[in-house]
Amino acid sequence: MKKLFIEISVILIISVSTSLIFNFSSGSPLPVFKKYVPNEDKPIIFPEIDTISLEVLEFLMTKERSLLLDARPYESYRDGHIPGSFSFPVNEFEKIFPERGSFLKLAKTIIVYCSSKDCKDSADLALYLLDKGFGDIFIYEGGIEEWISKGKDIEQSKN
Amino acid sequence: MNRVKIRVNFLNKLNKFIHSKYILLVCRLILGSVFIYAASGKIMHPHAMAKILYNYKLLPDLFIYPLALFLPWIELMAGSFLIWGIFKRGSATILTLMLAIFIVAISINLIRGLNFDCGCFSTLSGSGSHDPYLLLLRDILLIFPGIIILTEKKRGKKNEN
Repeated sequence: MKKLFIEISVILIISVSTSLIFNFSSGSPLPVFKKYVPNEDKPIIFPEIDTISLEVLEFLMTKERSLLLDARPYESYRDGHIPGSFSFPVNEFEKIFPERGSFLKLAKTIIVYCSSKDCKDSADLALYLLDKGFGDIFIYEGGIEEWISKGKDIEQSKN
Repeated sequence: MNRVKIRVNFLNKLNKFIHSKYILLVCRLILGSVFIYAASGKIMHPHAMAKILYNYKLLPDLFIYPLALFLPWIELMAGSFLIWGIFKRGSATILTLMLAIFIVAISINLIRGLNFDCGCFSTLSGSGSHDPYLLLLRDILLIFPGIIILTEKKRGKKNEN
């Protein structure tokens, strides 16, 4: 019993100390010793990052300061993307964010998408942005696959 | 009398089989890897994890941030130790207790009729199952490997006597 208690204590001490080191060395640390304050501006509902349909995407894109981000690798973006979208590959987030973070701050609404309903890149990018403090983020769930299947035009990049 | 003997023999064999080193290894691998996998997403997205904990509506606000930070790391460390075979009993105790707490938490919210995201395997909404009954069943099933690991020594001693 004493051995079990020691084992549990060691695991807890290692976990807590590692988590604290990791947290305070990360870009957006959790305020561990503060009371949790939910974002009062937005109702806390799930899904926590709202997904939107093609119709809503088109509506949002008519609004000023809406920004559409393509979360797929740059090669996929180059081959074909939704017109007006910017490439923001989630696999290079840490590299790209310092360069384009200030640009993102100009947007009021950020919409992210990837290849289809089954891809994870858009959700990952949305969460990374959420962790960086961005608020109004939406995921266009259908992705480029649905966009093309609905007969919409795509844009290609030369570089 | 024969029937009783057959039953006792069967139970002894079952007990030996369940606590054979291969089954124990499989149990450790299953429990450990499930928790390591579950922890990885939560570690990467601590803010989302805090939101998920808040949505359980079970914890005081003061505990949300510390738990959102510590819980995934405890899962990761205990899961890793269990797979490596270091602090086996300690790790299994922690993980089994966590599963028991998750079962209670999910059950309470089911009774309350609250719509919530369990955040069990990922902080991403829409990932994995959101059917609370399936989540409950999954946690109940996962508790068995933990119990098998924890009962290993005791049964071993009994058998020696």
